Amino acid sequence: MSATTAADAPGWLASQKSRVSGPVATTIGLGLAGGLLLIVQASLFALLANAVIFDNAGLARIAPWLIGIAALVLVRAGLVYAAQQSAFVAGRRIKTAIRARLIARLGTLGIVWQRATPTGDVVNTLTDGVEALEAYYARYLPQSALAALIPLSILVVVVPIDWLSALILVITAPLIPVFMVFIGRGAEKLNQRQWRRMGQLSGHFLDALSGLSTLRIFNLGRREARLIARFSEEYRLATLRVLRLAFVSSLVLEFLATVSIAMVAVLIGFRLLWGDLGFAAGFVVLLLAPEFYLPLRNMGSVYHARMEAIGAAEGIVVLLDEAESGPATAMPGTEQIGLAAGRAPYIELRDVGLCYPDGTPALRAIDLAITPGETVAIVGASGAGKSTLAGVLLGLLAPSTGQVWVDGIDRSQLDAGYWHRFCAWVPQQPRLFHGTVRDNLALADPAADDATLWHALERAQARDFVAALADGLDTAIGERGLSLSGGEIQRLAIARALVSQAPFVVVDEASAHLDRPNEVALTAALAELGAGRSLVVIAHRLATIRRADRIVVLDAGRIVEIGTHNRLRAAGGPYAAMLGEAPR
Amino acid sequence: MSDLRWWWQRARPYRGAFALGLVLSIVTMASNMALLAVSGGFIAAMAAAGLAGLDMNYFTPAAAIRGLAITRTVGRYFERLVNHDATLKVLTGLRVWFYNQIEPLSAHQWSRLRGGDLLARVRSDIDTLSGVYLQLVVPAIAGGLCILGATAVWACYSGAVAVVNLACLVVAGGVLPWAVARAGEAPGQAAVAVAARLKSETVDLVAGLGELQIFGAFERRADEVAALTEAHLDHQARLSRLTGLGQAGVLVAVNAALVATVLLIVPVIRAGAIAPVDFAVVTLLVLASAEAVAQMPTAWQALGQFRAATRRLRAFEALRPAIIEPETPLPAPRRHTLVFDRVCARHTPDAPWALAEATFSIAPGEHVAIIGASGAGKSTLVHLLTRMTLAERGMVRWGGAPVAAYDSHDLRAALAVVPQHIHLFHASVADNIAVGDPAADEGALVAAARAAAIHDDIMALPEGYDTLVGEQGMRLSGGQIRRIGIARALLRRAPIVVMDEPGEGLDRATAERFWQAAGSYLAGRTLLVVSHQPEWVAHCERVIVLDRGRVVGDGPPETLAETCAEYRRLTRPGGRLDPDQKPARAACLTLS
Repeated sequence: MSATTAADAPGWLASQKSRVSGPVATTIGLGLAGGLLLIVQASLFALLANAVIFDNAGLARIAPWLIGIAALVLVRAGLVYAAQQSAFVAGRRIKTAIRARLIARLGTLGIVWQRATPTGDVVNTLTDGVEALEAYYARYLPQSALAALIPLSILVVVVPIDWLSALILVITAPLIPVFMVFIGRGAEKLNQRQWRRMGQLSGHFLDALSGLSTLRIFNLGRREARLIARFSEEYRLATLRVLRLAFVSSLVLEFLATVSIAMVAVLIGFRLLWGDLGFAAGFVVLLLAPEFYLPLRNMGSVYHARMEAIGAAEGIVVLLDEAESGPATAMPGTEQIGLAAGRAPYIELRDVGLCYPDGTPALRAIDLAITPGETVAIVGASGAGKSTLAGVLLGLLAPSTGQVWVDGIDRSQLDAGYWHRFCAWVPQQPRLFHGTVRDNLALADPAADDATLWHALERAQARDFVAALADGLDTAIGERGLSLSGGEIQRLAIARALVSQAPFVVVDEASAHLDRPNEVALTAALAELGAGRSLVVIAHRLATIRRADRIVVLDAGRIVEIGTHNRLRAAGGPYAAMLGEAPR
Repeated sequence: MSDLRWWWQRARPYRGAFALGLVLSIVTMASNMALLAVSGGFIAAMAAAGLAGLDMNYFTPAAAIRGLAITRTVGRYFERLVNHDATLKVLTGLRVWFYNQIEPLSAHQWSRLRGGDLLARVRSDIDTLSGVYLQLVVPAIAGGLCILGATAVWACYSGAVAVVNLACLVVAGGVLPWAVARAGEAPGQAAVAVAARLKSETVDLVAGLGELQIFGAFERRADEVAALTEAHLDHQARLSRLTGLGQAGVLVAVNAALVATVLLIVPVIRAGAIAPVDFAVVTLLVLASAEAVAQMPTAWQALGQFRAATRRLRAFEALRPAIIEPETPLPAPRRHTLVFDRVCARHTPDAPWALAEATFSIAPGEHVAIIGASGAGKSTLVHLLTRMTLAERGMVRWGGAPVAAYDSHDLRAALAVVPQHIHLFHASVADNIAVGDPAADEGALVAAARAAAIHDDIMALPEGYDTLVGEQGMRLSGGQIRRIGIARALLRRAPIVVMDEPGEGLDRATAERFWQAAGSYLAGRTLLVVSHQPEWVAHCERVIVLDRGRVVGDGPPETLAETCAEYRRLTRPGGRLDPDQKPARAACLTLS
């Protein structure tokens, strides 16, 4: 996160204004109308009070004024309601639009970025962060406009009535924004730092919870409780430091507003005593004085809302920025034609190289062709680039150099969604999504019927354990759902790939040792998956490798050997060395 | 209201700050109401005196007006500071409370609770609860007391005015917001529930990005998130309408009080029972009392959110830790003999045994490998040993007595564990190693890193030992994470070392380096290695073979190779390609 993007947050917030200019303007208009009616109501009430106090007026005489006041109150109530609704609409529009935009960006960021970024941070930006934007558009923008318009309207009324009171209002009012900006600047800087600190401290709490078993095994459970208390305490003290300053701005506001009202009251009192002013005139000024300061006063809390929105916007701006400056979209193209539906394409990597964002090469000069229907095993040490190669084959990662050709078409011309219709993926740790077994299986094809799903489960050797679940296909799985063993999850993911009917499948084999029944099942499931499809397996088990048509040996991002098991073993090269203690 | 009582139990330690904040709130609110009423009375009296050509004592009211203005200003500042401070104190208290609830749970209880969305929800629930004081308690109590005070003042002028105004304000501050909050309960709860779903769907979307893209499901899932956003907003819209109704209702109720006051007080004035100038005092106090009820609608709405959050958090209270510490624990034993005596354990009461009738004994200083396929019961064995889970039948003994007779703290102090899943904290590499022994100095840290054969890797990181590692140790390879986990354990210098799959992600050369570096360290210590890799097993004089929860072999490797079929299958040369073994560089031939 660079300092410039963080500083951009206020600018970015302002730039999004155009999305909600309609409802914001409506909110301001309704608020202003309410303010004007309040002035009329105050005037009526002043006349009424004058009649009651000095003319000994009875109810009959004041009835018209009273009825007028009652009518105005009802209209004002309607305006208050309407303003609340249009402010909500502003917030609603912005939240919908920004969340949609962020999610769309998410799709272009790809897995390199995703693996390098804490999931929790991104989720917070997408949920709470977007939620916090509402305050800026639904509250800060309308209220800050009204903070100028309503006092001005009141001033227009007060000047002809009593210039001296007007003078007090005129002198004090500009001081308020001046002070606010003056103090707000400092507080804002502190606040931005504070927001990050808060993120870190909240992060610490979550981190401690998710690493709890580690903490306990190292006897740090009790210590961590103290650490949480200490960090929260630090957070409290840091926050209070900010608030002490932030609240000074509201102290100044409050001081100017309240003391001015007191001054207006005292000065009016004396001029009434000396007979320089009529009571009704003085009374209406006294009634309007608090209303003059009210919108300015509210600016304190509204400003706070703005700062919170800025804090949230920082995360959003960073995410949007990364989408623009981050790694290029793996497949920027738009073509949706060229490949034969349902048939595995001929995939050719030509001189493909890929560098991580920090510049270290992950793949270098890869030339590799996958002919339709063949099974290719990729082997190599950890860090040799196996997963990266799989990512490139799937179109999840963009090569830094070289091209990928599919059936004679430069794949970067193709639309990503179109290409992915030909792909299925069984990751090393498949993610179970919130939902039922059915939802997870039918990821690629939501319309798949039960027979299709059961057939896929059968072929993936997963039928028995799914059938044994309480609700069968409708059993809830995922983070909060039922827990399945690693072998079961892997076979469920194979079934998912089978359901998708994609002709090109990449499997990242789990490296854990399986017991005999599981091992047999996995081998059978992979054989089913390879039937009639192009299959690329990042292989860890010899059973898989032996069955492969070709074995690709990677080392430090390069292909060092390609061939069949028997040929490579006989060649006595890296692959044979890898087999190590398996001399035959 | 039992939810509030529960909250009060958590918040009780901070009652001093609460009381102070409340007093300041009341003073602040009351002084503003008084300021307006006194000002009204003052100018009315001055105008009356001016008309009559009389002089009057204006010093007292003028000074009172200034005094009230100052009180209001200063009071407001400190009120906000004290109340925010109290809120943050509650936040700390709740976090620690929650952590303490969760900390003693067993590995199985805990694994059911894990998951990003659940933890994130807990966090926001805790935030909601810490806001209760500021959003609910302060407005309700301070507002209520100020209304009562104003009523007392009105009663001095007219009983009828006092009664009618109290009624109107009770409607404005009590009945109306109550009705609005009641109507808002359902959408409020729905909004919270939808927000939780929105969060977990978003977690899926972010964490499952690659899979969703490949399976063409990203758009669909994104649409679901969009639909949930809409649903969330629909609930919020209902709440917003209610908020609007509440605001409008309060405006009407307060002004109704004003109109009623005029209607009631004018005849009283005409009758001469009170002075005409008092009209200004009485009516301005009505207008000023609007402040006392202004925050009530938000307070009542906060109540709904507060209840939902409380209900969810209280559910954690019901979780009783499965593992109970002995009241008078035995002192830690001197000899660290470990005995499993017909131990049976499983994940849930109706699951198959994860470990069945396991019986063996490990003498101090013995180096034992435990091998078995995934699901054979190896991790359960480690959990039993570390007392993260309990044996359902049979007994685990440490130094002669059952582990349950000792303080778990003492037991774990004798253990250095490399768990299968190594959690790296979002902290520096050094901090992550120091988890093994937070008191260790830098020298010890580096020594442990060297012994775990990770020192050179760490020095190659951009900031060496100070490099931050991400949520899952993002920039590190699986093998590096594992070796950090090993360094963490070695730092402890405990008599029993337990390593669960230490070789996962490690190439043979690194493994050899580790054995050389750690050999002298491990000599004389008990070592349990859970592994399937021959080169790790080879360093142990004894192997225990597990198959689907049962001990199917126990003895020296040479014997097992002859007597145990599962041992042969698991260690069969070439039965498995060691994925992480680097091919010899010299033999590299670059094809292409």
